[in-house]
Amino acid sequence: MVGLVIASHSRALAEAIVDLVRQIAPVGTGIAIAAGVGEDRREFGTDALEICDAIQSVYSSDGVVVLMDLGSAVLSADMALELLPVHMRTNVRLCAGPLIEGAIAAAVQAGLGKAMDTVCDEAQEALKPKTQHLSASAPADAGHDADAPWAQDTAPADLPLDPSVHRAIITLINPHGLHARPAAHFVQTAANFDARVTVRKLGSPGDPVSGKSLNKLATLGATERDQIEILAEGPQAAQAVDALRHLVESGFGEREPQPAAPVDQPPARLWADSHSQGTRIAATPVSEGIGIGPLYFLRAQTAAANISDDTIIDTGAEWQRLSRAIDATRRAIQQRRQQVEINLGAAQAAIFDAHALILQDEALLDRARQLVEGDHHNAMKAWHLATDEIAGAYRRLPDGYMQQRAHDVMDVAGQVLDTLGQETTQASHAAGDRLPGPVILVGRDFTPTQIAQLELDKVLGIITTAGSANSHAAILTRALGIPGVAGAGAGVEAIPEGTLLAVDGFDGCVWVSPTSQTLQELAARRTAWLHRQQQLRQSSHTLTVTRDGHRIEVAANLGGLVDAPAAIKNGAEAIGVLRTEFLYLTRKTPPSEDEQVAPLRQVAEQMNGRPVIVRTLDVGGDKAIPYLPLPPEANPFLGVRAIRLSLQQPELFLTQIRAILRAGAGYDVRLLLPMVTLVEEIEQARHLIDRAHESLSSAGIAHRWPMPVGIMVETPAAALHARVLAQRVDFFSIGTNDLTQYTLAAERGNPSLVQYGDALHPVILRLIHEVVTAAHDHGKWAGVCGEVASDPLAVPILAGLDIDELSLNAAAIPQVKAVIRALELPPAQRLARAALQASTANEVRQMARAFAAPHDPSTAGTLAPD
Amino acid sequence: MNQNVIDRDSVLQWLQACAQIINQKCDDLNQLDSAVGDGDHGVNMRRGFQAVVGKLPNVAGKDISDILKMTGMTLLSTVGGACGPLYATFFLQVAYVTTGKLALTLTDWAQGFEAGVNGILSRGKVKVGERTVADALVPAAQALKDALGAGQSFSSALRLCALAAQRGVQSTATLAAQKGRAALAGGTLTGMPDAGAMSAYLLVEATVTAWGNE
Repeated sequence: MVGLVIASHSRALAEAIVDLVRQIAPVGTGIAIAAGVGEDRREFGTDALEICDAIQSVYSSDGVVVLMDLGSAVLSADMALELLPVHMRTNVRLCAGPLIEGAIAAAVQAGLGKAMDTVCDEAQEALKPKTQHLSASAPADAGHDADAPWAQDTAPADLPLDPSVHRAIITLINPHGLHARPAAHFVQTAANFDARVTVRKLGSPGDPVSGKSLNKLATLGATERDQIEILAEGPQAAQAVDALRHLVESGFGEREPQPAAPVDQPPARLWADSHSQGTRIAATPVSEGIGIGPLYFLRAQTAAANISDDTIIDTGAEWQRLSRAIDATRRAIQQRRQQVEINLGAAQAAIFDAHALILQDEALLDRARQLVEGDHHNAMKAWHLATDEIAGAYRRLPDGYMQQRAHDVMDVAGQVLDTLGQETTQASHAAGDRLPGPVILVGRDFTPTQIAQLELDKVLGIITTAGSANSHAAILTRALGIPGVAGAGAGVEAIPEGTLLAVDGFDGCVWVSPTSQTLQELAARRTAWLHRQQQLRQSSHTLTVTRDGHRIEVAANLGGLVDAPAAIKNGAEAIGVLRTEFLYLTRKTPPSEDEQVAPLRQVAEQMNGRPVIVRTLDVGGDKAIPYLPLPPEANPFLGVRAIRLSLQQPELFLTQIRAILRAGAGYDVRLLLPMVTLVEEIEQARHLIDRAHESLSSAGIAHRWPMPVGIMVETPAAALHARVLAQRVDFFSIGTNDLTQYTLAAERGNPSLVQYGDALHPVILRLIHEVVTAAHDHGKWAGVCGEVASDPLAVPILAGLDIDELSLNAAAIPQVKAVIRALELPPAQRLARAALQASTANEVRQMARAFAAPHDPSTAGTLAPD
Repeated sequence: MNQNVIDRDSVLQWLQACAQIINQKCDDLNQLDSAVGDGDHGVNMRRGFQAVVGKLPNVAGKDISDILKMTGMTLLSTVGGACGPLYATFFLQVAYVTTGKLALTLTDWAQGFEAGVNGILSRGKVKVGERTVADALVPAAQALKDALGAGQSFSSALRLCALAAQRGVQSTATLAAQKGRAALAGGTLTGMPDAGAMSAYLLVEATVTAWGNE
């Protein structure tokens, strides 16, 4: 939606205008003010910097319209444009319209989702109604109306013969006729239909005006008891006329309630009545839940449209320019990946690994380079051509999963183009479009990047018209818990924005303008669904035991400080893995001991005595650190990473150990070593931990001792050797993501190796079983902290394998706890035993599904709980 | 000062002189403005230059261009009236032209001054004869250029420049306003010079105060 900025000499005036505009504009319209100068901005004047800030505060790719009063406001606004980041400048209009009238007209058009230029034009025309009204009432003009032929005319002579044209003549009953607020209401209603709507005041000269223009409507000067004629033409002409007739006859909701009048209905009913058909569109269910709200199209945000055909002479420099943009995009993706991993867990973040891989694809890079250096294409053009070729190749593949990868390529391609388009500024990406309010998002398909940038509290549901249930965006939608459906068909794209939609993510369907009956049913189901979620969350705060009293600890994986409150809110009984990379990654020098103690302690304090397991630095492989120059490796995942790196950098490692020991003073902090393979690694690490303890003791610094030390079991070697390792550690945490990758010898980010990525493969289950029994034989405990821990299908199997702890992303905790509480151990153990004997991961999944749905007669079998 | 060049400290002195002279003439500027405007030009300019002076300690170690840039940005956000963006443009343009220079020769200053004045002309879409700052600054820039061409010393060039600005201010007394809110007053002839042109002259006069002593 287009944002608005009001620039004025007077703060009071600007604030009052915003109040006035808010009466008319839909909730969520982005309006910012820049007004006044001096310390509290109570002195008259304008400030270009404030205008510049205001523009950025409401900026989206839809653009911003700035309205201003006079004199310095104009100069300051002009100057503010030059202070904006380059990519924003062309997307801002300084509007010459009158400040107050223009602000109202602009807000209405912006609220309707109109384009920036339309909003600006409407605001510019905003003085017309007043001008015409005042000139019409001037004595000099008074006479001519009476003699005009229209004065006797109550109906037009040329009645429409075309059946596609719908028409209604209605008398205005509200006190002020089509004045600003009702006119705005009229425009908003008309805009919801795919129909050309014109309005004429009967008995008055002048051509019919557009029913979608606030200014034109207000120009009619139609007041109480005037008759207006509404004409609509187009596919939804009938509905448009019905809805508008309803609106006018109901007095725009302004009229004093009259007992006899049956027209007094709340505006919301208008949708239901005018679309009484309440069309149901079938789609693929993507994410459970029900969402009801106005349709909002999410547009693609790429710079692809701005690609020029210019050829380049200095191809070397141009290739460097492109390389820089690719590098910058890759860094941005890695940052986003960390963010998503923190919020949603490693599995969702793996999508961005795939994206980063696309940018490292040599064939793609070579092709792009050739297009620049050989064919003299400019960077954008070359990149566009090269990525288009790859995406096209994916699209031509018969496999649906591979076709989806075309979408990933285009997502990444667009990001590089955006970077190229903005590289002259230091401004960061706009964090997604501002949504006008709570909406149902509709688009052909969304990129994971788009989904990750959404303002989640405003998204009631997500509909893709062309997407599939296994696209990356669909996976993210599920992880975020937003009701969603996919593949609703191109027809949905023809529905006017703002139309009321209901998304049913259980059955996979979309209701367009649902009838009031459907709405009630859906609302009831929605309430029940929200209630169930609420219950899950509430019951999540007690300890987790199975129905027969077997305890399994449910802990949260944490990637930073910000998520600790969310983990507690969702009922985490402990922090199963506190990743510490966040302390190291976003800086130029290694963090000092003190710099590490503070945040670690903060988490421990927030957890209030519950266990916090701190994993030491896990970098190398795919995660690089600027101040740790690591030699390039042919196989980074098999190279110097995690504990291997820490042991080669004993100073860095000692500092971290000391910080963890100190943070543990008075708290249940424990230490976890990542990716241990050899007994020697534990011995060396233990040696350093002892050294840290001794130095802290001799310096008289408080710290936790003895410190429980555990290891991540991520290599097949560690799992198979668990009996030996168990004598040297206090606990095991099985990292199923890496364990799967190393055991099945398949890189996780590689999209063509997905079938090798299932942690429920019987081989992985056998390794887990080995670790758990080894631990228990030595009086130690074992947990699972991979993605599989949050998979409701996998939880009964893990419980049956006698796992002691599950550590997962906070969002999934309530559901996992609910699954455990519904379990009884003996049937889960039978399921686990059967799973260990299975031949394929698919077989295991089938068993797990049958176990989860015992009442389905087709799958009921010996595995079902008694 | 060294009579051939303006160094960083000289620039700081000039800005202080500007603040001082604007402060002294604040009431006069208000009064000139109240004839056709809202009578706040002096207050606005004083607020702006007080803010600039307050920030000088922050830029004491920076080069000339940075100091001028800071001045422009500060005026931009504190003056409030139309002169804010106009003078900001002047200082930013001079800053742009003098980028990387540790000291300014007369040639540098004349070029910078001209660029600054041109910036104002295009920002305000004004020209000579419209009763604006341009009436003081355009002849001042020309005088600097002429003095440079005639081989005048730095200090006499500055005096000639200030003299031209002063004559320009006087010329506005016979002009009707055509720009900004002043124009809304109906273009009345007041017989008084334009407040904006006056403040522009004061800033030029401050160069003589700061740099004109040999």
